[in-house]
Amino acid sequence: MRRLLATSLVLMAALAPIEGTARADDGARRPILLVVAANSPVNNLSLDDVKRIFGGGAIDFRPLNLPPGAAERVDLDRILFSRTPDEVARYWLDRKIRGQGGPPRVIPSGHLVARIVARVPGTIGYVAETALPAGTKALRVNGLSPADPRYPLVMQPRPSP
Amino acid sequence: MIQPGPSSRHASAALVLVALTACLYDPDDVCGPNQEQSELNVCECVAGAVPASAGCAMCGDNEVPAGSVCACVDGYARPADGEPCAALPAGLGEVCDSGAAPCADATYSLCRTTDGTAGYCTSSGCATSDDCPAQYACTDDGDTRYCKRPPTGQGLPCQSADDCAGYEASYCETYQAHVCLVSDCTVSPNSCHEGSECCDLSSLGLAETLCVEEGLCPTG
Amino acid sequence: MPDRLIARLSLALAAVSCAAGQARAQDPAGAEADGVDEAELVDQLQKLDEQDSQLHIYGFADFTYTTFLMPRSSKWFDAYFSRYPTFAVGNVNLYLEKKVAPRWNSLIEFRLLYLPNGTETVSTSTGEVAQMDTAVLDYQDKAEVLHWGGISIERAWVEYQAHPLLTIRAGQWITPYGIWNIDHGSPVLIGIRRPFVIGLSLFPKNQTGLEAYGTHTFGDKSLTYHLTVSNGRGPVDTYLDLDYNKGIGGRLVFEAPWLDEFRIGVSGYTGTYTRRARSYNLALNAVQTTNDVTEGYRELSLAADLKLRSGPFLLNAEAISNQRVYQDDGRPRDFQTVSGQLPDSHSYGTYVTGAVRLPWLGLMPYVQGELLRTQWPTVPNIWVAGTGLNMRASPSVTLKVQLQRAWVPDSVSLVVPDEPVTMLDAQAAWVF
Repeated sequence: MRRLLATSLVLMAALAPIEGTARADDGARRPILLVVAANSPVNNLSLDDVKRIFGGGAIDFRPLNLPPGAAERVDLDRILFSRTPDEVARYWLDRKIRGQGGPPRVIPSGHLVARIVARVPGTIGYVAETALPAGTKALRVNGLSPADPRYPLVMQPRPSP
Repeated sequence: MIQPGPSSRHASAALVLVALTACLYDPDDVCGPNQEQSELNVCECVAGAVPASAGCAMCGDNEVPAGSVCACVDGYARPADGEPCAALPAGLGEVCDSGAAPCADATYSLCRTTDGTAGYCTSSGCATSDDCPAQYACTDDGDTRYCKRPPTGQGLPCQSADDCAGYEASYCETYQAHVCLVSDCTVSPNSCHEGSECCDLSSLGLAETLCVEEGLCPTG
Repeated sequence: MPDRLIARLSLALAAVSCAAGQARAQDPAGAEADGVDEAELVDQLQKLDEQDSQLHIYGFADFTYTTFLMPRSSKWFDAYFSRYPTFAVGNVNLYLEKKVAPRWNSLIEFRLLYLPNGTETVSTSTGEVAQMDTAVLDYQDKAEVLHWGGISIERAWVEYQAHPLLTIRAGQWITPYGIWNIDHGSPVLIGIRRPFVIGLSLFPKNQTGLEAYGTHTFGDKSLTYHLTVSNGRGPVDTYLDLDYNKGIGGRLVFEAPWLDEFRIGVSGYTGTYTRRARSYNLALNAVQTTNDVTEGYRELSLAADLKLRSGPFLLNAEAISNQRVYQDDGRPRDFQTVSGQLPDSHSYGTYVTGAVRLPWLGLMPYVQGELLRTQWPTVPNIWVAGTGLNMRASPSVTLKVQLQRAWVPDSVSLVVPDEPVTMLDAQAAWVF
């Protein structure tokens, strides 16, 4: 019985969500969720649309970026633009010199991104979370939900600290 | 890596070809009216033409290009500015010598000397320049009223003083028109031939006074 | 404690724990649960609002060292180039950008110049070269001499983004053609010296008028168009049109993810150039005015451009042509032959730049070649070959060194000798 109690305690620890992070359904795979306001009429975007939105080519959305060193941003830039962080920085500077507009607004954390998206119409951001605040929803990409193993926006596996 | 489809490639190439073959320029007509391309690839007046406001203009009958204007050929003169060249009356302007070879023509019997006893044949007794043939001006030298011819060489094209040597218009104007002009005239009284005025060019940094067409003297 | 009770307790605790965890994840009021402080959220929202009304100021500049690798006796130094190696700050360009209202953007760019100090003019009658000296005493400190310079407005426009297919821009804008003209700034450009075919301005560099543009996407490809109407070209085309004709232009760009980047564009422009000489004459107690054309031509410019990127390899290529037909009364004098006038012309040229981005230090060696047929009767052809190294020391700083040789075969010009010229340049260009 003591063993059963001990096992239960271990199970509770394992099942309770860890503060500030989310676990994907499959433990090693972390999708990057595109989040918009829950009442947004948009439910799905093609990968090309995502590329245009975060590459400065769309006027219907106001994209929000994470800081340049954030793992989610590094991976999203790699997936969308095949560029390293330095190359992305150069991309935006080059656009500004050409007079083509600057990068999306940078928000310090994914949690803030989700909160802002819930409150400011027209904004779109990304987080590597599965638990989103009320007032937001995750979009499908190419018709695929984040849980679908074919969902294209997935973080690269990184060694645990 | 996605390869372009054949239709997309063809469309791209077609766009480029269409864009580059549209034409405005005609290689067989690159100069203005009465112009041709010289060896240096610039547009020059064809033979017998002078620069005009639009390209070049052909000189008329009995005219030859003289710098930027058409001048009458020897033996011809304009009755008035702007009029076609007409043949000078026989005997007028012929070379004479007041001693050895007087003028034979009854009308143009005065041998007006210009250098010793050598001169040219003209008429005397005119009241005004209307009594004189084309471009000749009625002049009173104190003894005789006679029809004075325009300065020799005036308006001939030149590149240097050598081209004007021997003419009464011995100065080669090399700044603009490149023609022979009469120099060392007096402004007051105007010593230039009728229709010309003496121009003091000291304000332009030039020491000369030159006879130029009336109204063309730079002011200020 | 009885075993059954312990078991029930354990299971109940496990269930409550899971439920509590789920509830925390969905609870919007649980700011502390996702680590977002309400004050921080308000602050970010405020900053987001402020960004809309904020004036963004940024720019670029460059510093170049130039020397010519010809003998000091080269005729190029007689009338064209300075024989002395020189350092110079070339561009100092400032941008003022602001979102003036929802969907309304504004951009102003101007370049600060040392000119007109040092500008040379040659007297056509005496041949003497006069150099402008803008030295003045500083009114703040009479002991200091200042050389005043100038400002050149590169662009100043406002645009309304009506739809992805239609944005309308009004003002002075960079002519949308090719690669080099749009890239525009030294930190962005691969090379140091602009290709001669660009420097000849076969297209106007910028125009004042209206531009409409938009992009249609179809899958992973896109087609972008530009349509322009402007004052065209003229001596003061930025603020005064001297004829009734407007300049009309357009551009089409097709982009696709072939290789890593594939972009092909075609551009066109047509308009008239007019220069006039005005004078006032007082005659018969009335003022008579003349407003004669001293130079006038109709032109048609066409261009195609190609940009390819595959892995570390990059290829930029442009081909540009300009046809110019003079009005009969607007054909200017050829300054060399004096009595001759300029013929109609068809100038065309092409340049190709090939580069490879190495994995070390952001280095990118490149080669560039160019062929040009000019509109100058006395310098009909220019050939150029060059090589260089471009290094992006940081995203904001680009270092370049370039060696370039140009040939002018068949030159009969008095100032452009028929011998090659070799130029060595080194540049630091930066964005701030």
